[in-house]
Amino acid sequence: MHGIEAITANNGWAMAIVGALIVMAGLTILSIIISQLHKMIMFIEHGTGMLSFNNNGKAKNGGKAETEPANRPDADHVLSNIGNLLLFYRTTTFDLGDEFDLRDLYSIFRKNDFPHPYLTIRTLRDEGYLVSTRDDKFAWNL
Amino acid sequence: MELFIEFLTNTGFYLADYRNIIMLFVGCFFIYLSIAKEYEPLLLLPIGFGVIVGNIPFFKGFGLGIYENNSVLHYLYFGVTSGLYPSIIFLGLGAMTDFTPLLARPKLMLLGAAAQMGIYFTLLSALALGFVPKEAASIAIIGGADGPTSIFLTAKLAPHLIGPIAIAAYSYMALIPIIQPPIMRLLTTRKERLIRMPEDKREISQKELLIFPVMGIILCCFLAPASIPLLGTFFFGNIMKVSGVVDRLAKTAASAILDTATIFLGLTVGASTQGDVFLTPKSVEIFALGAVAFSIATASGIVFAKIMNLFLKHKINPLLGAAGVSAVPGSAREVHSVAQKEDPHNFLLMHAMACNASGVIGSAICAGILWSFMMA
Repeated sequence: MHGIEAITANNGWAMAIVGALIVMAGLTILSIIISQLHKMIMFIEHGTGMLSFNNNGKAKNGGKAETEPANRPDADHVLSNIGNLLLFYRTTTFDLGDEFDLRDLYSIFRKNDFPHPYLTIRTLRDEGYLVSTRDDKFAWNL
Repeated sequence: MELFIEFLTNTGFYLADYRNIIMLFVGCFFIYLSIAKEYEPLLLLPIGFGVIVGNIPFFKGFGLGIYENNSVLHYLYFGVTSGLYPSIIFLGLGAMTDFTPLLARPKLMLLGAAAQMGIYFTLLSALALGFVPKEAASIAIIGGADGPTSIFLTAKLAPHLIGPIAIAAYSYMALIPIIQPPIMRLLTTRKERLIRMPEDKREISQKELLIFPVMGIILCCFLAPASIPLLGTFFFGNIMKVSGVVDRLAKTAASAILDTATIFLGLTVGASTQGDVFLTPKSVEIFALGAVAFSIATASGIVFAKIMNLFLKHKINPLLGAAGVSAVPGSAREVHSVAQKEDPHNFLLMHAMACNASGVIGSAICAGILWSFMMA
């Protein structure tokens, strides 16, 4: 038996369509999951903090406000004001002096749990807020 | 004198068949390609030498041939027919694979799925040519461009075709620089080839890298349990690598174990191509279908990328679709080099590696699916 007759007799059409759909569906689901993976991890790690922050510090029990979130700066406000953010970075790295090594800056960013330290430093360099001086040293350009 | 004549009748010169001679030339050609042209030397050199070993004429019944029960080659060949070598190779591949590019660009995973369409198209073609379903499925998996997966599935479904299918799969993997670029250029415009992919703005955390293999094995093998022998070892190898707590094991899996399995797989697959069982009209058909499978797989990845572009705000370079086949890292390298010919500052290698990694997973799932279908 040959040709379309052979394909039909051996259930070829169904095997091809179902097989293609299964692999496509499987990898689509996997890609959706991995695209959300970092959010899930962040939620699990900082879930409680995120929820309370989003609730503007309202406590989950007894209506008592949590003191720590209430004292936090408004994240949106800080992030929207690049000047404040740069000042914050500079203040945090004050101990490094006027000129410093990028590795030391990276260590401080890591130590203070700044999000995405490597990307932040790269962006600061790209935008010209962090400039090379001499002997592989860098300085703030604010 | 009689003894001398009897000895002569037992030599290869006397026993040689024209098919053995042809295969000896094929073996030499593979060795030439691997050494002089450096086409997939890790595979073609052992296979080429194996072809020579398998085609030296010998007196049947001495326990010398790979198909003779008590021969050394037969014992080594057990790793192929049982699917042992492909599983071990997947362990090593997992320990070598970096999923960071894939985790950073999850949508590129779809291209790895799209490139598997070549498998199903070839399944239909093989059935139409009169192959029985198990043979057709074994031939179709060549479209995954994954040698170990092809050998694994063929060993399970149509062991008598391991020789031609393995040779076809590895030959086409070696011929990626010749097969893929014309298809890429045919299906894309210059403007599309010039599309630059955005740089990632997100760092992949260690936790993501650790969770992925666990999540991957659970999801993929729940979907296609028959792919456990391949994906189980693949993801296990990967978690050994990313966990960082068993560096010694990960390094051994990615080096000594992988190399050992590759050596014996290549040698025995080559030796299984004895002229009398290999040079048949069926083998010619398998080679032709393999070429179709590989070309369709490349084309379907590219076409799917173009379809995705219809819906995406930030267009993706359709060349990446060609890297959806699981020939790691050959097809990714080729995509990168075709893009660089148009624009030397366009770097697609990491993006192409993401598609490649997805293709490995996709082809293993397809093997599991086909195996399940044939067992049903």
